[in-house]
Amino acid sequence: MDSKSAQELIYQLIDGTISEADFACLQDALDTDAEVRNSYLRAIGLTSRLEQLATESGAVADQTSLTDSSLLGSNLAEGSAAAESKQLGGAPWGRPNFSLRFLSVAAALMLVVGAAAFWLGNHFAAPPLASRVETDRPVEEVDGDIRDETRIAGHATLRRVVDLKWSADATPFREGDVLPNGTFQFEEGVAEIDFFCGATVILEGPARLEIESDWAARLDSGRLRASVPPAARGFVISAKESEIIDLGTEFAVAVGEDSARVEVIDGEVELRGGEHDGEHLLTGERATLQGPDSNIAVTQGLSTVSDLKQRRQKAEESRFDAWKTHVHSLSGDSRLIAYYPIAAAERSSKASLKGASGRTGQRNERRIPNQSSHGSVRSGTLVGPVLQTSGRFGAESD
Amino acid sequence: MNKAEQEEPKQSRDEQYGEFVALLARHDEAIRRFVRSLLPHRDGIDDVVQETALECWRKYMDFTPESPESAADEFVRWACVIARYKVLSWKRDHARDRHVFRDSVIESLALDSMESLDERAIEEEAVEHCLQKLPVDQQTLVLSVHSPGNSVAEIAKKTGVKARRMYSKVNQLRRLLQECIEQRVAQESANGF
Repeated sequence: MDSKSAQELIYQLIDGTISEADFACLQDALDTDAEVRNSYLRAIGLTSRLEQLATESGAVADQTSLTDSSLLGSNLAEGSAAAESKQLGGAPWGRPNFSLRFLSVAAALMLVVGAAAFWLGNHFAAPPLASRVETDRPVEEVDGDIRDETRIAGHATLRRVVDLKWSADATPFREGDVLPNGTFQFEEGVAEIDFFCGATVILEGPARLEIESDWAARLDSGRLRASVPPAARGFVISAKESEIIDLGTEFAVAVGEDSARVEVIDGEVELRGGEHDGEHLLTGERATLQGPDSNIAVTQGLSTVSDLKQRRQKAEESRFDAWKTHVHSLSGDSRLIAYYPIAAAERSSKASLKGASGRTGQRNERRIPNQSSHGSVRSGTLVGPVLQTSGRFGAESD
Repeated sequence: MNKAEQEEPKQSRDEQYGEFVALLARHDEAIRRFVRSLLPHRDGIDDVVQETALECWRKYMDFTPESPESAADEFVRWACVIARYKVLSWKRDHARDRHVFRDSVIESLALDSMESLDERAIEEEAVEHCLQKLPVDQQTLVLSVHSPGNSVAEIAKKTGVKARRMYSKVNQLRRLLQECIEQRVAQESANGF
């Protein structure tokens, strides 16, 4: 193996994109070739230092921070003395660990052995002082899943739900919640779950899913579609007596009381356990893990991510309509003597050019007419600093 | 131990513990680096390091250095031997999770890694310096793909860039960084470092 391709494989291993065959090859090389071992150790050294620095700085690239030139050729600046000098001295780039540990050592000497052993366990679980400050993370990351595996007690995030009705004795989660080890169950609706390994599962109710780890879940009943990017290959769904291991990219599983079926939408899966043990299924292929065979596609009626988005939008639109109707009815309500919908202010400032309010121009933005048809109170005026914000339903309800 | 020492009262548990903690604190980085070198993905490192520390304390009475001067070196080697066992047993529990090296590879890597801990430490110090030579947006890019919960694929998604292009870019940056590190290490040793 020449040194160039060994380097490629090493980084593929680190990035999690290496194939089984290449991994075996790389291991052989590591066994026999000291140069390859050396390259590997250097690459790991670089990677782990970058991981430390990344944790300390909390920087994450997004669409705005990446410019076109970032992706073109690059070279290291020659003699950038400015970069060298002051920046390196500061706290985030230095090594805060050492002084923290010195203090801990001094404190620990005071402790009795029993308490000290406890402290020791904790010390090695504690992160470096300057790192892992959540406030450093930009907003974009919060929207996605929080995958800091060593800290969060859970295995997945509940990304989205549509028309969901929880089962009577089930824990009702909310969008954005981290889902812990255990049962996820609901009577109706659809849920989109992002596992920390990178796989996404769309679960159609009524359904019951046992979340087992970042990498695995058991479908007790219901139907799901699993979407697994390359880095999450190896994601496992158990159904009845079998395990379905994803080798990329998408598959569907349906489990009933006495039946279980799997179908590969795209890519490949491996089955373990049961009568199909060891089989690999490819795109379009199906297998019945238990119960009678069926010609109906496992995927029939199963939602995709865009389906969910559409349904969500419809649900929101109908909620908005209901709100609008209610709002309009308020103006006609005889019990209400004053009602100042802020959104009406802008509209009325234009209308008042021909209207009776007197002053025109900018000042009128602060005048809000009383929309209640039964009140004789005059228009209200906004006093003090008031900013226009989005309402619950976005721009339309400002 | 000579006769005079034998007649002195045995070291109290507290004193032993103080000694142990001092050694462990000083060499924690090296031990952690060693463990990391045996696990290509960062999963499991914290667990293994913690297990190693606990086991080292449990077995501390068996740790008998040749001399006070060599105690530090010997401690690291001794702790790394324990760490290697812990990596192997972690591996047994997680063999199916992701790519985990087979035992023979771990053994060979462990030997080489132990011998090169100092070199790695020097290389590590060069990383920041080399990183700062990159334009800021590329520094951000490199750090992003290494930040917790992220990966090259994930950052490609977040920035709307095709994964293959992102891998290509990140690998290029890695090459540049490694060349810079090698140069710097060579420089430092030439300067009689």
